[in-house]
Amino acid sequence: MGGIINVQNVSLVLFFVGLYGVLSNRNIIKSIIAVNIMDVAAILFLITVNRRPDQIPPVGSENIAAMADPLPQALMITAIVIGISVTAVSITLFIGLFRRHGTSDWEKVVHRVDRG
Amino acid sequence: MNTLFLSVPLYAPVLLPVVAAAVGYFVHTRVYKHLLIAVQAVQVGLAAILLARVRTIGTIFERLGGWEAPVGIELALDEISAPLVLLVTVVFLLLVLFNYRKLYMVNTFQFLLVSLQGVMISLFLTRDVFNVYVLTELTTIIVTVLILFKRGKPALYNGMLYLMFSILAMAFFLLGIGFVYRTFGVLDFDGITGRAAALDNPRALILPYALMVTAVGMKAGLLPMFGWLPRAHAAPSAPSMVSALLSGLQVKVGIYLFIRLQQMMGLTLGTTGFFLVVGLLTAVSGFLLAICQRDIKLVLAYSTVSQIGLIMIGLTSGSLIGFWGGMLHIVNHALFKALLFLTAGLIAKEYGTRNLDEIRGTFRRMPLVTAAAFLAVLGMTGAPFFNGSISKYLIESGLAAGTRWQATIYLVNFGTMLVFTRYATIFFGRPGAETGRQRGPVDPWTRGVALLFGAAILAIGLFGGPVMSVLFPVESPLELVSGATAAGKAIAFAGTLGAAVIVYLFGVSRLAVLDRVREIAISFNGMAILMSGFLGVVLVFLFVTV
Repeated sequence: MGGIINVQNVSLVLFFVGLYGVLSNRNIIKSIIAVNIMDVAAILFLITVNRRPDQIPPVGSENIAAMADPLPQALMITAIVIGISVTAVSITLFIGLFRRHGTSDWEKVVHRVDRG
Repeated sequence: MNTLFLSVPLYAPVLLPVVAAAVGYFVHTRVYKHLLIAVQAVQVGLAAILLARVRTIGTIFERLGGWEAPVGIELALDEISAPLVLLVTVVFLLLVLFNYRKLYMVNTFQFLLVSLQGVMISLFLTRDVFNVYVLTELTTIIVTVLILFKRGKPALYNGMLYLMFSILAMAFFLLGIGFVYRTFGVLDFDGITGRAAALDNPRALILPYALMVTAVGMKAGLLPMFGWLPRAHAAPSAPSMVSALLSGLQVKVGIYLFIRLQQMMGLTLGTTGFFLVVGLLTAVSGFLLAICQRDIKLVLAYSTVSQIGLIMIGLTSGSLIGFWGGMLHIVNHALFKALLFLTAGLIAKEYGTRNLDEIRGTFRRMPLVTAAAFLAVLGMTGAPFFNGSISKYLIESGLAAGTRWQATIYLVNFGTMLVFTRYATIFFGRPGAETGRQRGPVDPWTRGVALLFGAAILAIGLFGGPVMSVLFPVESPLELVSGATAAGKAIAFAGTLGAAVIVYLFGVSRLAVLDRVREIAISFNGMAILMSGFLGVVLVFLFVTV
């Protein structure tokens, strides 16, 4: 895991790729995907925090000292579930929005909403 | 000390509403409604007992599941969170009573409402940043569904915008949690506070702090990130009760998290002055935008932004009096803004429009509602003997005396008066010709609760000193208790009001530029850019100063 290309840095790059997607895309579906990429990047970052390559999975009760830190792993399962449910809600809303306004463009939706 | 006093567990005010929500979902709506009122009454009692306990024996800690602090989940209630828990329960009780006869109180709505209360209270109790993340996401989903509850036209867009913007902010928060865990190896508030103070190089705090404060600032509606707030709080599809709930309580959760973040890392980094400026800018831009609005609910929503700025000024003023003044303003704002939204909903329904220019003469047409709204306006503008004057006075005296900062409080209050001078035009005059509309039966619950809110606003104003000493651990300044400065305050109030009315009549009401400002609509991308910009500014500020 040495060098500049390690999981931590890759997840940070991924996070800002996602942020770029949020900033530059007017398509709602792409926004949802981009936010998801940011979420996944943050989860990847947290899972690999303070991790060394020689660690073993935290299963069983032998050799506890060599085990990876179980706390981030436990927390990130929660974060993944939350990410899925939030995405599900936003896609549901998007379907309704698309049916009503007939566009998936943030700007066009704003104008159609505000101008009646 | 009796046993009841000591035996209320901290998780009770969280578990009770959640269990009640789940059980009630399967019974008839009428039964559910009464169950809710009973539960809310019990909740107020529990919160009052807990507050009394915190004030007598100090912070209460409680471990869930018997695990030790860094691993186990810890709940705590201290002098900052206890009054807020009481505030949440009181406002919820009043709102549920207000809604007693409303048709939208179906099982789904009530289920969401009471679950939201449980989640909000657990946000005040939790001591762990990851729990904050989970609970905030949960709040986001519940609030989104509540915003969309009445299926109005722009509804889906408002909900979508709020949801996406919140998720985006919480992605920042999650990455911030990652940096916290990498730096400290713990996620509980006390562990972070202790280790942050012991750090050799505070620059390690910059990234986690900046990421988390951006997310929390979005939740609280700070300057460049409040674009979602009016759309969510004033959504045509949201029942006025939901608007009251969001503006009165929901944003305060963001402010509360900001306080915690400052305690954990902000003090080490020295960002108080930065957020004092952000608070001032938020307050000023809030009232400037509020003046431009024509929609009765949008005016109130932008005024919330302005008041949040004022609360931030108090919290970051750097003195105890200013801090607790800000806390009192959180309570006061919850009361008068909830009342304003509720009465605005009644007025808009009676007149069949939300356009401020088309509503006239509410005082003749609905005297009781207008009287309640008038009390709220007086509280809002800081009239003497009303609650707003107490907290604004405390915030002002918390700022360094004789500096320009104290003048800014007058500026913000002048702006508030300008907004509500315009708002108060609906009270006077004659109702239009189209009064032949069929009037529904008078609902005693809505009017009664509106007057109760008004009474609370007046009571906090009249008994400011005692209320302060019951709620907060701070000695009120002597002049507040004795009322010796009442004359001076009355003169200042009258002077500012006069100036506001004159500026309104000869300036604001004739400006054409207001219409153009109102047309500006920032889309999701614009808001995301503003939020990234805020993150960038915080980062630059910290890298330069720390």
